[in-house]
Amino acid sequence: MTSTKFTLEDSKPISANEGFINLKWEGEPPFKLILSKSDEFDSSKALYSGMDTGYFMTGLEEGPHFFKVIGAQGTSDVVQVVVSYPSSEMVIGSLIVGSVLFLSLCAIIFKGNFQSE
Amino acid sequence: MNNYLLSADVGFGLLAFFSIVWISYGFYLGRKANDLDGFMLAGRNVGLALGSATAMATWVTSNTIMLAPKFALQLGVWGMVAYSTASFGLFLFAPMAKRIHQLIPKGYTSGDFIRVRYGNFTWILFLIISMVYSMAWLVSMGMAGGIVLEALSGIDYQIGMSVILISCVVYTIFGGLYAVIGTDFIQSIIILIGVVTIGVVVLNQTDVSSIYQKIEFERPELLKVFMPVALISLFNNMFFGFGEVFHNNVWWSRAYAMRESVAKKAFGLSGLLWLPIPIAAGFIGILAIATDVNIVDPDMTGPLVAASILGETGAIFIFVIVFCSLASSIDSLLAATSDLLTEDVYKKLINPSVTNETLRKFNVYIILGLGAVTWVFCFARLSGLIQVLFLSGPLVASLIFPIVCGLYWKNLNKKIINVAILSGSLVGLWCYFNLGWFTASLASAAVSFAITMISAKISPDTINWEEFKRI
Repeated sequence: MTSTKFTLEDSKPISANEGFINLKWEGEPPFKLILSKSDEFDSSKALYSGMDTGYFMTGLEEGPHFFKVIGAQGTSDVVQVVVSYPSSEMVIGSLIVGSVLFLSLCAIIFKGNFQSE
Repeated sequence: MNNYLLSADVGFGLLAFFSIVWISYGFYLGRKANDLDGFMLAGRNVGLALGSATAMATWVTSNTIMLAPKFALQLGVWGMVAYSTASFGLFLFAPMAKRIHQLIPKGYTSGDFIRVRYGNFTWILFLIISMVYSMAWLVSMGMAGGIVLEALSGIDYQIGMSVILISCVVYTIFGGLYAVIGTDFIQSIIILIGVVTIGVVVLNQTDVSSIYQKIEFERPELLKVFMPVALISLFNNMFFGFGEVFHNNVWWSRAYAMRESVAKKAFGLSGLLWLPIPIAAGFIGILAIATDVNIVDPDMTGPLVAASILGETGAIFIFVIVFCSLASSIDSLLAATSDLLTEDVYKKLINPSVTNETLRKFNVYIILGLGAVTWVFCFARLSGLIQVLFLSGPLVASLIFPIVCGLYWKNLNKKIINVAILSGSLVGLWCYFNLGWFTASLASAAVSFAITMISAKISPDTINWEEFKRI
């Protein structure tokens, strides 16, 4: 019998600046994956119940999140995932740069084609 | 007992049936591929229907079927939109294809243009970037084929991967671009009908308002208008797509192969035909949340969700669509990359006095060699190779402005163009590792753009457009 534990290579806490994480674990099924906003798990929700040994969590809000797996052979250690999205300045900056480049590209191509005709 | 969605018998039956169909049809079409122009460029006489179908089918890769649903699941609605921006690559290549025809009526490869426009150093730099990207794309598709067939039907990875690869190599060898374009036409129809059918059936079997409510309750971030990573990746993906299309010989060889009067329309139409595919595939990814299908391997999101909703019929559809999308891209890459190696490396660098007859034979050996190298990499199943494809994003994005400006502007400083490509690539790679994949291609394109603009101002070299006519 194997005790229930996460099989993550990253050190804790895990940083997820894209808001998703692929959780994997091992142990004896069935499993229940629990998510909470606090390490006390006073307010939590079950994300998954079943025999699988993984769960792809997406759409996490900014801030810390705590996961644990309850299996037939006990409960895993708690994994902390800290979501820190890129700043709004970076988002707006990339949208501006992208727009300028896109419009420039269109202008070069369409003007070039028009002149060459 | 196993957990496969299809029995191995059905899987082997489909694999055998489509392999025989593609090889036979390739043989049939290949009877016209007698000379070099026939083999490499389908006689330079491809019309609108075949032209738009081949461009669309080639752009539907394993990534479109497998990565678009994953993207939507990771980044929500914006992720779906971000993936579909790859269609802009085809839209903007449409007018470029017309210009390519005017400028280089007898060209064979994208390398022809770079060599004449910028000289040998830029040409070699271009060949290195293009070969890294093409091999990574080829190997990633071979691996994806083996993985998907194994996940759907339990066919051993090595067998599934080998059958797909060998089928494509065989019909490309016998039929050249005639076979590639002809099979692409049938494959594009199957892909389009298959994806749209799955999308419509899935939509009819689900309630959109309850899907929305469930996502809003369980993963509200995916519905937010301000989803940071998705918004940043919007232009990043678009410029990755521009880099892929504008530089790669897959697209240039098609531009040369099409009749001048249809090239522009064909690429524009292919973009329109391609656009709904990642949207439909992405919607299936979003459904993973609403249908409670547990995703253990995110790369399998699309096939798993479609099959779980539609049952065995859905799994058969996915199997056939994946097979067609892989074959239509692998054959194109084999043909276009072998053209690049034959024309640019063998003829231009090693044996300039070679005859067209010898080149035609040499091209066959190159296709065989490419197939063998791809098979070895796929057999080893090195997951890091998929990473190389994503890492090539900033490399190909650094080529966008040097290629586009080079096509239309007479005055550019050749040495500064090299700086643009190298700086764009290096800055893009730095961003990939330090800021995230979603910044790399945009950063590379931005740096390359700025330096290309400088190259137009500081001691620019002038090109005589007539030089291209001598190719």
